[in-house]
Amino acid sequence: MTSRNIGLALGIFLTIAASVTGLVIVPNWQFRELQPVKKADGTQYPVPYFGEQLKGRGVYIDQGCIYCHTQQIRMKGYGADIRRNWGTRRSVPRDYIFEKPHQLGTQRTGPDLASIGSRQPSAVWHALHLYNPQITSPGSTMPRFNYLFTEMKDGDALPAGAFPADVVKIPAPLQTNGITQLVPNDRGKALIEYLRGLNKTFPLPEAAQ
Amino acid sequence: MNPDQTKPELKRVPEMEDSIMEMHTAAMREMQEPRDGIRPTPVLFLIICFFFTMWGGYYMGTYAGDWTGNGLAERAAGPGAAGPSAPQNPMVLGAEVYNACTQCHQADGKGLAGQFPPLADSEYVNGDVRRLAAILVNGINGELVVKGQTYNAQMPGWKDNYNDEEIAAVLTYIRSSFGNKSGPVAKSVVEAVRKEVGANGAWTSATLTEFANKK
Amino acid sequence: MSDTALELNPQGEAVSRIEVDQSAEWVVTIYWASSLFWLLMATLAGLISSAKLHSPDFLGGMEWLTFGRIRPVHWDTAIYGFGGTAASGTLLWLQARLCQTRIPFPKLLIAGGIIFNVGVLLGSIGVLMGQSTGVETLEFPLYAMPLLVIPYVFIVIANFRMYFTRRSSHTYVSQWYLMAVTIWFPILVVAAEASTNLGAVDGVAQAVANWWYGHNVVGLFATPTAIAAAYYLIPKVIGKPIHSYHLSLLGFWSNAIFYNWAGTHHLTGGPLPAWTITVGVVGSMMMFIPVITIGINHHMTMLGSFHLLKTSPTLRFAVMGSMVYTLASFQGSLESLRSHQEITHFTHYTIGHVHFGMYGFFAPLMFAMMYYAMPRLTGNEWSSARLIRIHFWCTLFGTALYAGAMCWAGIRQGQMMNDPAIPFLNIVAFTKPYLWLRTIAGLILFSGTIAFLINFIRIVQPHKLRFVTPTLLNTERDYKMLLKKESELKHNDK
Repeated sequence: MTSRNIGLALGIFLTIAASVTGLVIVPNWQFRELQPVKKADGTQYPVPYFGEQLKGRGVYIDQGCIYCHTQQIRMKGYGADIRRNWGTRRSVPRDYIFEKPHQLGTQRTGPDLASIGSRQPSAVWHALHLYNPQITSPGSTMPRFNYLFTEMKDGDALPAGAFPADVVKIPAPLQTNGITQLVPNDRGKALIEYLRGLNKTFPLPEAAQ
Repeated sequence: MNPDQTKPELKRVPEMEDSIMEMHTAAMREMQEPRDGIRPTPVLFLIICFFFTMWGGYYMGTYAGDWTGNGLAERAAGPGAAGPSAPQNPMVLGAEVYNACTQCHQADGKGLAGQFPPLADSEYVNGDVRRLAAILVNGINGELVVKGQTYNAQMPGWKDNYNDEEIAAVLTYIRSSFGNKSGPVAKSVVEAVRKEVGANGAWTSATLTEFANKK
Repeated sequence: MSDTALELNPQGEAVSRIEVDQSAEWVVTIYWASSLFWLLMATLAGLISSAKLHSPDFLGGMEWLTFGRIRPVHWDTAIYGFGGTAASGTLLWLQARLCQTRIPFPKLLIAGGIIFNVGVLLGSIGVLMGQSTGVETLEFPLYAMPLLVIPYVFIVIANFRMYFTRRSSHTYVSQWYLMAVTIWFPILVVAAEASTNLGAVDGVAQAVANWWYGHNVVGLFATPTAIAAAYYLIPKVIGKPIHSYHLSLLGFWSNAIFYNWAGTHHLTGGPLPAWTITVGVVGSMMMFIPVITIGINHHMTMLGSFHLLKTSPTLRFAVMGSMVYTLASFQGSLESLRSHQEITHFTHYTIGHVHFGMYGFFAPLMFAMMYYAMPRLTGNEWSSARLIRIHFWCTLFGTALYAGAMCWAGIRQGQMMNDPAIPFLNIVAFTKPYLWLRTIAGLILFSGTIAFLINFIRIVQPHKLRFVTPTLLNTERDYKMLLKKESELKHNDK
């Protein structure tokens, strides 16, 4: 009786020990030596997040953007990610070595964002889109992130710490409640900087497969 | 379960727990605890297991790349990978490419008032095709006057995203959509522009005008 | 809750059952009452999430309720809040019954249950307040997770104690699954937290560990518990042996071996080496073997007893669970294939599948367990057969509508996404009516849960009078008569 008990418990343990080894330890070991590559101009790709972009990544996480957006481009011929201009090449493990935690995502209620910064560098666009997605994308089901912005009516003074260059005018036909301008607050600014920095177009040799 | 246990009989709960069994009529009426039967395992089922195992082994062997961290290719690229071989209808290809432009220029080509210029009735779209191709190839930043309105935005270049045929197609598309009635743009125009200025960064209104005047 | 010393009558399994039920009374009821609370919370969070997807301004503008926060709260309260407590209660009662031992350390287990609930509450509030870890299925902040793990350690100890002091020499198949759950789950959580939120693993390797965990919560925690319940309830209620011992053996071990590896199918097409996805696909497809095995065992056992589905609430829920297990697993195995994933990855299809499995298989088996055991724990019977019928049909129909709408929408969504000529916003517009159907399905499921809640609240209340025959689905209970007679008694007693 005892040996069968032990056999059962041991067998159960071994099945999970095998998968921990195979799916937790081995992949980590396989990527342990992945380093960024040097670009022609001396900088590297990818770059660890810091400053505004790191803060913005925190906003991305606490707002839960991952539940509608992915950050991974599938290979050419498998799906239509590249033909939709979501990226210029498939994404590879090296793209993510500084991602803590990863934000790969599993749902595309909204488009992929792996290289959103390369196709959408305009801070103004991001501000309008985040404040009220209907402005740039009518019919979108993305929620409004109005709390990342200070709303201003005509004649309002700038909020403390904001520069005139930060002010975003809402297109006149889409203004509501007399709100004509926006200024992103700290978190809004950081998030926009993070999104503008998302760019996985740098050609990596392993992506040519 | 007795079939005649359908009358909602009410019984009083005993005050003292002198009859445990009476308290637990549910447990008393239960069937015995489950036990194992012994039946021969169906042969057909074993054959199915065998085939799955064989398939599993084959799949593992064929699709695991080289088992290293570098073996990314899951399979030979699917039929869409090589891209279409024959030239495509520019209006169809152009419409497909244009889907990437709608976030700023909108699906109706009217842009966003004060922020992103319209393509409908635009002098840039309907004018010099070489200048227009240059905008697509390198992008344009800063102040730009379109139809009397001043815009100040950032448009990225698309030279790394699209080839000459695709850029020519989308230009053809926008020149004959949204009310525009201008002629198509040939792939050779885009090719020439890319060769000439493709290495440059984004235009400004001033540098773009300079380029357009230099014929 | 007296602890009368009973001598085990060798001919009276019944007496030992009563002993077990008495020891389990408070512990298991508290776990299951918690599970019902969390099911309601999870459904509410799910309804809000679902509504926000087709009506983004619903309860809009409030940061703490934004979709990206309420959706993970739905998920975590459903898995940990509902799943964790329902499975724990099931495990304790089932293991006690099968080992013919009392539940040990009841006070410790009750304390554990309370701590667990606090943990889920703190974790959920943390996510709503913006402290999510950012890792799917592991969003609870690090201050909440230990509150989920520690109570589970108590359960593991209680389970081992019962198992190693059991009175029978032969272990029944359910006990193997329960033993497996207690060994797997703590290892899963610790390894997953270490790899993700504690930072031992980086980059895409972290993604592999993440989804190794994510799928194994379903496969190595929820599924085995529910299968253990089905293996107990189906032969128990109909009074026949389970079809084949050797199939039980094969089913258990093939489940244990293959399910562990299936998780990477959540990352198909992603930035990963081919082998990681391939082992996930093979692990998922090989699941056909245990699923067919268990299917034969359950469905062949039922042969000749289907007429009992007319009367037994337990059996109805259990058989629904076991049939959907077969269907949802076949669906999942096929879904893992790369060609299938090319279309359905990233779409609503995944959500349809997971709810088909969780609300068509896991939840019904937990409900079956509660419908069976609560009369034995409380000494009362269910107050209304009609409410049970409502609960059942809402569960069945709601799940079918949910899965059907989401899976169909997902396939079309995926096909359209793979056609670059179709503008993205058109795809969004296409899915909207199906998202409405999902909200409606959620409301139906919610209604069923309310029906169950009413019955549950009534059965846990102490009564002076009680029904002595089971609440069968084809009989009406006159609960009003009971209440009336009780108040008469009270009046006479004064």
